[in-house]
Amino acid sequence: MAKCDLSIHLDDDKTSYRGGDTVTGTVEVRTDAEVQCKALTVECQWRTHGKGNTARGRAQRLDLAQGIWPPGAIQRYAFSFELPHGPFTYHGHYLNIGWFIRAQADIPWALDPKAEQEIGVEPNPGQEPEWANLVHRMDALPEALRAQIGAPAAPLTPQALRVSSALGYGCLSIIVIPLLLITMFGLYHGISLLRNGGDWIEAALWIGVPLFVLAGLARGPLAVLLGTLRNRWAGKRLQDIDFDVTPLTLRRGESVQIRFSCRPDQNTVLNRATVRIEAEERVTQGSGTSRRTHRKQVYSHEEDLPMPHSLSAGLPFQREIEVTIPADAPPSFIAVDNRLDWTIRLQLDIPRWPDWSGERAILIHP
Amino acid sequence: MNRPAAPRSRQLTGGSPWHRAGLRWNPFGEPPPEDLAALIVPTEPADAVDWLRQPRVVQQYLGDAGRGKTARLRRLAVFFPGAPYVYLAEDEPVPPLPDPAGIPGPLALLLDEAQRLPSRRRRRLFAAVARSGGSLVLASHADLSTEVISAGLTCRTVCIAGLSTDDLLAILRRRIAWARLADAAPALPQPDDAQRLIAEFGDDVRSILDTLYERYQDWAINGGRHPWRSVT
Repeated sequence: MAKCDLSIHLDDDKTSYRGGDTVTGTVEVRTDAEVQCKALTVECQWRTHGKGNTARGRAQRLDLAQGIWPPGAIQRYAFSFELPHGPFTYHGHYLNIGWFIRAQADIPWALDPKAEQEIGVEPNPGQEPEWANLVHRMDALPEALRAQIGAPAAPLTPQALRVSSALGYGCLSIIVIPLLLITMFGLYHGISLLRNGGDWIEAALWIGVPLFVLAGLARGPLAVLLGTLRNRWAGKRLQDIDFDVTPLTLRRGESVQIRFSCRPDQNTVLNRATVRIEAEERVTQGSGTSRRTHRKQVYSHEEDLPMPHSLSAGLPFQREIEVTIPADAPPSFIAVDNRLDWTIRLQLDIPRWPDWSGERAILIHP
Repeated sequence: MNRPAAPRSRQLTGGSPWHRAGLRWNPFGEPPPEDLAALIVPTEPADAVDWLRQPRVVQQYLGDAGRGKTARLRRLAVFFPGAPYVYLAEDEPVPPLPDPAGIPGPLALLLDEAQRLPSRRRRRLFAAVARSGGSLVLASHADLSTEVISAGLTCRTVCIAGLSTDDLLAILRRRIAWARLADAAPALPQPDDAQRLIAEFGDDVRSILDTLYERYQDWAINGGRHPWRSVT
């Protein structure tokens, strides 16, 4: 047996609480020899577990005792913590959020004995949302959501600016400039060959290969660019597009209004307009080269936006749809390396024309 | 210090699906930093610890990603509490390295992803370690022994490859011991289970842990088949 054992006993053996409740209990210390303790502490803290790096909240901490415990004694120290209104206990696929009471004795020149007890923390139905308890990285929110929950605008940090500019200049100087030079030389040489009556196969290779390599390397940025261009192109036909979601923050069981309006400049046929509401866990594991991001969709609901078969040129068009968030939906959560995001996507399928799509982030409170 | 993290938590009534499985969480998830050292299975720690207590020596771990270089460094860090552990991240500025002369104890530094340190700074570091009379641990994808020897240090290189059934069983059982509830006895993998995993993934421990995470999720959350064949 160890010299010193700790255990945690919650009053009434209660292990399930609501936000705002008080957790009370005792830390029991059993010793089988004289033990000098520099500090006996107990903490109450949430932390994530699952596939991502551990994120944790600020611990409430109590210093319970210090001094010498006699052999064979049982000491009991009472503690009490008031639980905040979030984050709440959650068990997902990659992301889990748990609340823990943890006691630890600091014993000089020995392994520090510890004890830990998990408690469940559920939302309190009458409580107003306290976003700061669910969103622990305000800088990760879109500007519209930050404004909605009264968080200050996130300035770019000097480090972010330094890293992004260093990366940008690095890529530019190392990859893009030589490739552009090679492409230009290839094009010039290929065209010169064609003009001077050279072999057309050789000319095609001089022109085609650098262009092919350039297009391959620029695939990522090209996809982003094409997405933007596609929306712009679709918007040229639909004109004055407004995609609005209200409210951007809501409770489970409440409804969200999704409104779309436009004024097409010519008669436009629509195949389909779909609204998709999704919740996704996104966690990051490891660091450096072994850093990996894991994603899991934990909720998805698709609904057709009722649309006429065709929209008339010059006439304003508006449609609204109301979608209810299920009462048992997982609430939003954003912390370092661990998040649960909600998004609403609208996609318009226009035949023989680029599709239009829009996306809005929302926050769900329990 | 060598034993796995002791389970300390009692059953949470209702709530957690993991508690119904006799576990506190998925044993193959990412452990918090404070639990990491206890989950690492020592393969040659006593030998390495003795070696690193000598002056002007370097232990270099070479191997592919996911084979356990970082795990070995973390494990050694437990035996040298005064020695700083430094991880060199990709695409990030190299942090200032501690002066070996200012480190109390025989081991000056545990340097992870050492190949990312620019060669000039590497040579300066090796020279500083040689001057201080301390020792050094490196984890690297590239063999740095020539530079180490040139600095007047003695280098011992451990190439990490291959995974024995016993080592894998120990890794998996430690994970389950770390995750289990105090009053529960969840099923443990048997040699057959470990052999099957080695046949499927070779010595890539990271891929084995990733797969087992999914299998445990499927079993504990979705009621799927138990991850160990030995459990019916």
